[in-house]
Amino acid sequence: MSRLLALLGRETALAWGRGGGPLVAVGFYAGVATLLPLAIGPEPQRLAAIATGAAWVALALASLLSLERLFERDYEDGALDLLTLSPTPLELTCFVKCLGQWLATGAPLAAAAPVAALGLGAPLELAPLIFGCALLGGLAFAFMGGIGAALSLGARRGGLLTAVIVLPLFAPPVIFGGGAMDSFVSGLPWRGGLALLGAYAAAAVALGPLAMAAACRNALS
Amino acid sequence: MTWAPAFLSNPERFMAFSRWAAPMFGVIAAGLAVAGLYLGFTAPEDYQQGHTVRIMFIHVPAAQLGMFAYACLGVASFLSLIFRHALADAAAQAAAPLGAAFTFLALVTGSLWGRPMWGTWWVWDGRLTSVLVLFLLYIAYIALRASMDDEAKAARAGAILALVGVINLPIIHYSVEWWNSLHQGSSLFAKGGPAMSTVFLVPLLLMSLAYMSAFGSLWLVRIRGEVWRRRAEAAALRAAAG
Amino acid sequence: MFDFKYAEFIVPAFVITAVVFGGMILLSVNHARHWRRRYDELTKSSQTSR
Repeated sequence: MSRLLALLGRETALAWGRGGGPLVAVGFYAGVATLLPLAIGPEPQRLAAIATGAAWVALALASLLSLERLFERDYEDGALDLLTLSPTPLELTCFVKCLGQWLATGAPLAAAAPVAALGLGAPLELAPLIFGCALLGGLAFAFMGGIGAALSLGARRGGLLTAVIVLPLFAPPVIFGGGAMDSFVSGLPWRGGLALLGAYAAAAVALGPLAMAAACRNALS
Repeated sequence: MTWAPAFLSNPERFMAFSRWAAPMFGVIAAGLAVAGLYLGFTAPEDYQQGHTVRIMFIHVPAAQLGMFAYACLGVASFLSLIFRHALADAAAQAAAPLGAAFTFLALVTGSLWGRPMWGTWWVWDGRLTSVLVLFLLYIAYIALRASMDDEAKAARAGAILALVGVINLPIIHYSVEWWNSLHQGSSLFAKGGPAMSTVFLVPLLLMSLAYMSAFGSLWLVRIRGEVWRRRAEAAALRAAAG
Repeated sequence: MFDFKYAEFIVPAFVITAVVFGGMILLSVNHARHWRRRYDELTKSSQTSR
């Protein structure tokens, strides 16, 4: 247990410290949220209609950014070999890595999401739901993204490849989260969407590490 | 599935089988397509869709095959992960571009059908969106395999991705349907649909079978090509090693 | 011949289908032929040296 905690500490510190960590993701997120009104026009009604959706998609994209280094860093310096040799099963290690990724980038992004959505004109009452969706969705994005990151180990252009692999798999969480927020804004029952998002995140957390570990073993073999 | 390991561990048997099976399926496909197209074009106009109903005969089979090829890709990937045999991997690698081509055809013909019928090239309807995501999954698979130099690693990484995709496809399909119901989207397709009259059903069935045989034939040809390529590369390695 | 209603949508649909099928057939057959020939060449030359 203490070994896992130590690993979690290491992963979070690495994701937080190296390469800008949350600053890069949040900065990217802020940049996209700023460009959107510039492309669409400043009319409040028009912006408000797309505010939640735009904030949500930008979040999915921002969570892709730091994935590239999730496994590659350890793959290049040989730490991944050591992690496979340790008594901790590789599946658990992958789980902890993604959890660290989520703590270091998913959580800061979730904190930034309501701000971005409000800035684009979403109603204030929506803020808690956006935060919740972003936290849950971030978990799904981190664990699905981890699969893509592990699969593109050893490939040329790993970062772009990760995005191409992972983006179609992001369709369900984007739909569920977007649906929940959209229903909330239009006064419809929104709990269903949130529950589906939670179920998807739980499935990603449970099954994702299996695929990641298989992909890491393959890359190291 | 008991036959699978024996069949897979014997590429010779596969090569002997596919040598006559591939052309045979090709001939069957051509015959069925001629019959299907003839019946399709002599069928009366649909009272609602007019002549555009003829696009159905090439659109629906393409969509079916796009999905069927992904199922083939999934099964082949599963077998290649479990039995670690090169033939299963060759089958997976061969199925992906064919499936992508069929999915592409489904999207394009659907768009050309939609324009006169709905007045728009594209609707974000549940089915259309699922097929689009399926196409993206094929692209991801092909891109992943293409960007890895080590073939054995590319094979296993591709197989893992294909299985992740197989697990995700029903979820994606469900989520897109849910999303569509949420937005009260254009329900272009009546649930279940009206019973199709036999004048359209028979050519559609013939075309579906034609596409299926064509896929079977092309798949076998591509697997054969893969087997030759791997043998040639092994031979080149032996030659280089002296 | 192609002057029936909606021909501008139906004809391209069939043409594109035909082109994609042609491409699939051509690429698959060429791929198989090419590598088969390559394999034959390589094994022949190694047999003579053996």
